[in-house]
Amino acid sequence: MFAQTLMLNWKVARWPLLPFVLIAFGLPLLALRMAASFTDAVVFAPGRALLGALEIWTPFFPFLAFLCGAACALSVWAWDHRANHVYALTLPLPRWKYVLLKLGAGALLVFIPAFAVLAGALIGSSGLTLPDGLHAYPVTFAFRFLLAAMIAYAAIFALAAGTQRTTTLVLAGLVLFMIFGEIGAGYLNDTLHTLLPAPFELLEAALLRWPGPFNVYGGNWMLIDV
Amino acid sequence: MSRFTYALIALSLLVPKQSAAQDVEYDLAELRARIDSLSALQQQFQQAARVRDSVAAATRTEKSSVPLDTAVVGPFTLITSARDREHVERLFARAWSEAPAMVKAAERRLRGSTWVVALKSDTGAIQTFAKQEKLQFLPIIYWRVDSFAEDPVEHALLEATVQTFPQDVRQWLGSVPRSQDPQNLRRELAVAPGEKAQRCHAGEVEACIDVLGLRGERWAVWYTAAEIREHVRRFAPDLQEDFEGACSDPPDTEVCARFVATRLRLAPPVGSRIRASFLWHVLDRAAPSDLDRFASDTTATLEQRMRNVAGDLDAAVRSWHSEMIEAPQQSMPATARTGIASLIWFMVAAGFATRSTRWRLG
Amino acid sequence: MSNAIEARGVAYRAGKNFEIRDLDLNVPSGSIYGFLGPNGAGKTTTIRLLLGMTRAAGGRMTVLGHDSSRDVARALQRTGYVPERPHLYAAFTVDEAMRYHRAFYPSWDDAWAEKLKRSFALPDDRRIAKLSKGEVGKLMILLALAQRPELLVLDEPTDGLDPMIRRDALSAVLDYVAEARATVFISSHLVHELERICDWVGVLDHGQMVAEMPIESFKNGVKRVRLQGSPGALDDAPFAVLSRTPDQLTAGETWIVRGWQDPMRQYFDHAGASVREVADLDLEEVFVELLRSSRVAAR
Repeated sequence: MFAQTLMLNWKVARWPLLPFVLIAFGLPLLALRMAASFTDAVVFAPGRALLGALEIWTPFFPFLAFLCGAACALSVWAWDHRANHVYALTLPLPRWKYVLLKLGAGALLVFIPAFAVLAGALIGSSGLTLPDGLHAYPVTFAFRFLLAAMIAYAAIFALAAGTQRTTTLVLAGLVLFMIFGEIGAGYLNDTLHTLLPAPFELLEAALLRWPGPFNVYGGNWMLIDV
Repeated sequence: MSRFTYALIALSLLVPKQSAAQDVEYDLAELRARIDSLSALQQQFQQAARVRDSVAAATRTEKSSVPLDTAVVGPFTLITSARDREHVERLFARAWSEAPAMVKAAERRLRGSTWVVALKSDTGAIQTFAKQEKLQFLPIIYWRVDSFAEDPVEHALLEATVQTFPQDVRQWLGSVPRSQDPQNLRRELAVAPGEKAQRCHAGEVEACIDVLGLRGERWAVWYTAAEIREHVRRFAPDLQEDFEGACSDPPDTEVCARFVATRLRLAPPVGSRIRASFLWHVLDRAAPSDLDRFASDTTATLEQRMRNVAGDLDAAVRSWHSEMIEAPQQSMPATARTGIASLIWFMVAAGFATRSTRWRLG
Repeated sequence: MSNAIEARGVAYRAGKNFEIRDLDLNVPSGSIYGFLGPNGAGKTTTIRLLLGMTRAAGGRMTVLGHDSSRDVARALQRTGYVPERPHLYAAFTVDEAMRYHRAFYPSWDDAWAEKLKRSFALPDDRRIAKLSKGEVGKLMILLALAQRPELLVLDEPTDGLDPMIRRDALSAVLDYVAEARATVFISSHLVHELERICDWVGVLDHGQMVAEMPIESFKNGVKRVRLQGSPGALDDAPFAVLSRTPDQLTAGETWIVRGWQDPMRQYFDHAGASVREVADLDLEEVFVELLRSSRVAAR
């Protein structure tokens, strides 16, 4: 069952994932090559120049990880949504088992862009002469990418597993919470001098800071570091 | 000098005469020192009185559009809106209780410091008041007063402490850094420009003392001629001719040093964050009396003062260096914590997906 | 005789205009049960309720002894289902679809699946999206049969297919049923098609069961009776009057009655009329008359 589910997920997700895999391979390669071009010519502060050149690329990687995870999650559900889930519902296994099979099989696909990042990082850092004190971390970098992509995959998968109505309700609820929460908190803070948080700040703290689900997106995304 | 000062001096003179019943000769320097300390006390008294009066006046005459109140925490007098007084007091009390030793040791010197504190909702009104009364203003804009607001309060305490140090220390330090993230410090040292900085990173004590600027802002010590020439070539090619003219000799001549400092504006190899981390490292391990001496000694050089407060400066540099180099490697995401947390959240999402029992047609 | 499918008091509502109320259903094991009804009667909805694709608002349903609301996965293990509209993944090839389906059914018969594939002339490596409507229909029947089910649920399986494909599909089903003694639950509005193969029939209209009986009773028990004269009200008639129409030409009436037996002619002698002719109706005519009378009664 798992093998066939993996085959199904592969068939449906391989083309949507392909551009992200190519970018995942090329981005670290490009970043390292461009950073190397800085340091080759720099005598005075090569380490600083290298880190500065790499820093420009750091926001792209967590964003790419999210996109890879989301693309995988949406793809694996695409055919079921198109066929209105009739086939899936008439298979002789409980719904939760079917969902777990799909989740696990799709999670294996998320490894592909992570391996692409690893390959790009390894190739990119292989010919690089690093200044003293700096080291390349292609494996740990790729692992961070994998964790980030997996979290995005799981979150979007859970959302896409529901009906369109559920997804719309969740997203609409979020938007309404932000809008009315902002208005309400602002009004209460101004009139009653409370110290209520703005919804955006609440969400940011809950999601992005430890131990929130997306805390892996924060922190250091440098391929080369001390 | 005011009548009050005369009265205090007279009192101080009279008491020993009455109790000792013998003639005491006062050394002029000692007398001057006593007068200075009393003057400082008088200034603090006047400051506190002024604060009290301005708050009362503001409340009475509605000078501030929000009712104000004061709180005293440690050596600090805090003025804030009456509504937020409790929050502010709690914040400062916690920050004061958890302040590093060097801040607590500066309590006597910090006495009389006044902050006008505004929490998010009253920033505008209170800022106006602070400007009018020429008091230090501390806006706290974080919504989670109890946790995120700790940063600006801690920083305010550090800044206030540094303000009590001599002018040359403050100049050497520059701005008081907001964060002392060990990972960033380590990175800054590892990529600091110049061969001397690299030797400091490798652990050479003398190199570190030079790079930290404890012996002064000495470009010729920090950078070799080739390094400065490279810097000019890359970042100031239009000054190349002038550079060759000023620094044709080795760059430790006065002309060259002035050129580098004023026209080239070459930054020191390490900035305020590294300097501050060393300073905090030394001061946190010093005895309160040593800290007082450090803060009040205006005659010795910075290096000498550091030696005096650290005891063994070389050992202090070594311990500071090893602490920084051993700072945990945060670029490594594969800590057990991150991996396990991600796995748990993955399972939570899986649970939500399987609970999607709204899985029916129609 | 046990029932392969049983429903008691099933209720379901969708929107303002469609409702299933108090639905009772009994599909005897080993029977070929024709589930008849006009378009929009609720046949597909009933099937979806039985197979757990939709949740009922009330009542109880069992399929092969398993509760549809709690244990439907076990029932589906032994049930082959062919839906009204194609439900397979369009990007699969025929072979891929077979391999995927096989993974979920331990009872899958590889040899028979290949045999069916050859007899249906399905191309191995053509994608489902590229197959004709008939080929898709055949593939769905292949998948349902190759898993060797005890129960086959077919929702309008031959709708839109040409006569040759319809014949091929139905004969494959019948061959299987004869061999395996499986139960077939087949829904359709093509009454004449079911007439040849079913041994039980249930009629659904506007979400309610109008009739459910063996097919012989269904066909034979309903007659067209032409009368000479117009009898008055017949409160104690031994048969059910489904409809009664005046005959302008003969000054008589034409009745459609259910439960007719020949000795009942005498009944009219006392009612001021006489029986001129009694004729059989085909299943379609019976079906239409049943629906008509139930709708009149509902009004």
